[in-house]
Amino acid sequence: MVHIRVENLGLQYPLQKRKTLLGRMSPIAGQNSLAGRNGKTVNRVTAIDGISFSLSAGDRLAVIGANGAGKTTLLKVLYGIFEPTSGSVEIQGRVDALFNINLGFRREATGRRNIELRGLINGWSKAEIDERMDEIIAFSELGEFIDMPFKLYSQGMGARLAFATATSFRPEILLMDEWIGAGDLNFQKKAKERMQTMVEAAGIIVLASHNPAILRATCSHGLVMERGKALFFGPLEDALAHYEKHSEKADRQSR
Amino acid sequence: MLDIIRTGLTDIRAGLGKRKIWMALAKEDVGDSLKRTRLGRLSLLLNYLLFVGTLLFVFGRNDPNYVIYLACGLLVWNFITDTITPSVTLFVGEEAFIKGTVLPLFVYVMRHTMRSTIRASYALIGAVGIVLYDKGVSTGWLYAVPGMVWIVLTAPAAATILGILGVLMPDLKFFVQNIMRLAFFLTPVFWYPTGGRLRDLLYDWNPFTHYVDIVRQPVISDTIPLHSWAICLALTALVWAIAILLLGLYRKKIVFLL
Repeated sequence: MVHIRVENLGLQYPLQKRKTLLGRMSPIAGQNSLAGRNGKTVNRVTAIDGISFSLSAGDRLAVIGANGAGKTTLLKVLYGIFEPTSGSVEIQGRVDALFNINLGFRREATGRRNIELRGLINGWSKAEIDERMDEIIAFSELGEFIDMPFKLYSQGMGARLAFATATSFRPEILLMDEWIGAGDLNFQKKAKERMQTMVEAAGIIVLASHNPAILRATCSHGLVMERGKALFFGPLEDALAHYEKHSEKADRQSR
Repeated sequence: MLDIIRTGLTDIRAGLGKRKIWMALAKEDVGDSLKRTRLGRLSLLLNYLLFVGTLLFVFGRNDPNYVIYLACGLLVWNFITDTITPSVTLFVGEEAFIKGTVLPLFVYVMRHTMRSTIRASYALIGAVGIVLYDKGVSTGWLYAVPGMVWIVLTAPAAATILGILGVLMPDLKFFVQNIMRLAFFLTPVFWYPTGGRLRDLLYDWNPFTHYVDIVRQPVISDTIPLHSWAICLALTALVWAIAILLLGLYRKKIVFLL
């Protein structure tokens, strides 16, 4: 059974520091170390601080919070790009992520070859790639352009190919940093339907977004984050209400 | 300590397992670099032949074996620089991938090694041609094959070390570039070690010499350079040990350092 269990998750990482020729450590340009309490410099950033939640099959989690709250970082920990420094993440099921769907597209290669390469990078087998190829080409509406180099594509064509490739699998657990769409009005409608089918078929979804309409249409649960901490975890409507109340409060305080 | 080694080895094993990815990407890389050239892959071979020809023209052919000496030396040397110089920016250059996918780091190392190996294989065709033309067939050549294999096996470890150091010390890029340019002159690729003490010293103490010799000497004299082999075996083992340790230490940290 697919599930995600996150317990007391913490992630700290060092501020970017590089050894210079003099052997001294110094922060890279434009990024000074933060001054902490007692005037000591803080060399580590706490990106995620003691987050716990658990999701089981059918749950759709919305990750809500202001910019810099740690939403993307949390998704990247769940995906495995970042290793947590404390706590634990237990995941049962295959995790797929839609972060940067344009990653790895090569200008010189044809659309067809790009689908193959992207599939390999995603961990698809040769058989899986072959199986999905025709469907991806059809969905992307590229027609004969599929056998021409990617660099000849218009932006919209490139985006359509990326979208069609990225969404051509049936994920067990799907991580999304913002809802994705692509193309002109017609394609957007198609893309929306495709996303909805995919989301419905997935066992678990974790979606970070600022768009309440999309979250309401997709999610069942909400996790409100601020500065790496979880402020609230529960049913989506309560989470949205909590977030709204909290941002109003923060807004008043800042005035 | 054991954990570090295990992390390093796990990444290497996982990276090797994703053979399809790095083979495909390396092929694309080599193809892309030649895409707009008229000669295509032939230019890799011609480039090598031109290099040999130019040096031959400049230094003349005083020794009957000089052509082969040069051909084998350049074959190995080109592979060594082609591996070492760009490897400093190996992980830096893959930032988007490292921050966007969960591929093992060793995938990028192997992609890089594969790229150099594909390019070197065109030079190899040229080298075999030159030796055939100049000397004819000999069974001694077979001894050069393990030498070439050993050099290719050393490449991923060297690239791993420099790739990680390049992330930690961005300045290294310029140093390595210059050191490798200089090392070409300090390595007996186009000169013989008979011109005085300095040359002899360089010959003996320059590690690159021995990697060149395990390929070159069998072709020239049908013998196996045991002394050079011993040094190469030890050096490669050392390089791999350091690579595994560094990979284990920085596997998880690299993504934050980029």
